[in-house]
Amino acid sequence: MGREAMSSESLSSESSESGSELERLLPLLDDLDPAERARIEGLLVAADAETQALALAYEGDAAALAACATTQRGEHPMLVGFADAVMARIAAEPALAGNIAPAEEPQRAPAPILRPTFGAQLWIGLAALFLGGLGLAILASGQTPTRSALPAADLTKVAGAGRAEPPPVDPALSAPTAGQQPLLASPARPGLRAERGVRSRRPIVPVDGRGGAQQRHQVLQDLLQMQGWSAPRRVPPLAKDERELDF
Amino acid sequence: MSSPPAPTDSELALAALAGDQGAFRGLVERHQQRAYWVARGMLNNDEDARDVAQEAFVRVHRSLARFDVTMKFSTWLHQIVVNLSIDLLRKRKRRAGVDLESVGELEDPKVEGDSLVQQELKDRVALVLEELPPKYKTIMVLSDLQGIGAKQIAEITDTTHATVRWRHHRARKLFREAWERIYGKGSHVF
Repeated sequence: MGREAMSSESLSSESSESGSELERLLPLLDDLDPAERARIEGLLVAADAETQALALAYEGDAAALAACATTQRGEHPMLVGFADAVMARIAAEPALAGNIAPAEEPQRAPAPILRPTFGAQLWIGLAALFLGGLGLAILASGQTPTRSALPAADLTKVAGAGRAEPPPVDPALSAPTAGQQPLLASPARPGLRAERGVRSRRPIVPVDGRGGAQQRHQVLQDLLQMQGWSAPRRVPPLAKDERELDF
Repeated sequence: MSSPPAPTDSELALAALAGDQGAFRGLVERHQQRAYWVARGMLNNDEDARDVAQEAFVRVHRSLARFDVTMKFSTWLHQIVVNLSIDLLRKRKRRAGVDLESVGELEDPKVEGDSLVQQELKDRVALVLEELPPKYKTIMVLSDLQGIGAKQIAEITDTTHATVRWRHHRARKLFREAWERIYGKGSHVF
């Protein structure tokens, strides 16, 4: 069996017994090195009565265990039909019965490999649906009116274009009266227009409430002019040493 | 003319794996006693021991394809028996614990041929073994009751040879302490 000799030092170091060193070396196991056994037995001869009693008790334990061992190697009534019961259990379980196939059973063709159809294809389909929905959402959001997407004609509308349109005005009536200066943009406007390129050629359209009021003021001036009123001049009257110049 | 030598355990296992049910039955009949008695020593109950031994053979059959022919079949079988027994011991402990009366109830029908003295001795030893933690009890059952060497016990319990030897030493000390606790200090088996 090649049993290794048990070192008493290792046992004494591993054991947690708190008795004397000799008691810690007990019991003497069967596979103890003969020289070590002889040394311990020599120590026991000179040991106190308590330690000798303990050694005797260990010998009694070993004898009792050996007696039990001899009685546990015979045929037990519970083992009658044991092999039959095991084979019946194996045969009763289909998975187990398949493990040991009868030799005469014909070889079956290998079962076709079934590949699941809900793997990558499902994900691809879901991704396509998602992308389609995303595209529709982008298209729907693109229909929202923006300044850059409006046609040029729509830019002439004032803010609140959804409300009732003002009555049409005759272009002749809406033209500036003689001597009346047209509205000019601020001096910085031409530079901005030049920088904006194409957009600079678009008409300046008032888009806030003040712009609407200004337009209404223009219409009112036109009506007053029709009734013979002279429109108030925006520039003070010419002084004596001033004269008008046509540009 | 001499009869052909009996097939080894490995040969029977390979034959069983190839589909020979008779070969597996041969393995069962060859090892059923040792498997039963190991379980019996661990569990101290005949029916539990029989069930554990049967379950061990069924599991061996399930895992025949993984059997390492370089390993002793008995070592593999005893591994399964010991592990199943320890599992059952833990379940018992969780359920209600084991007291002296319940151990008495677990006692089996007596083995024919045992004298009264022997039977009394077996009962006492079994009762004291119940007091030991499973890892020490395993060592004593395999070594002292079944006579299995320390090297094979190390393989069965998946420990080192030195660990088995120390556990055996420790188990015998615990056995003595439990004996004195139950039957009185200084009491001897014989």
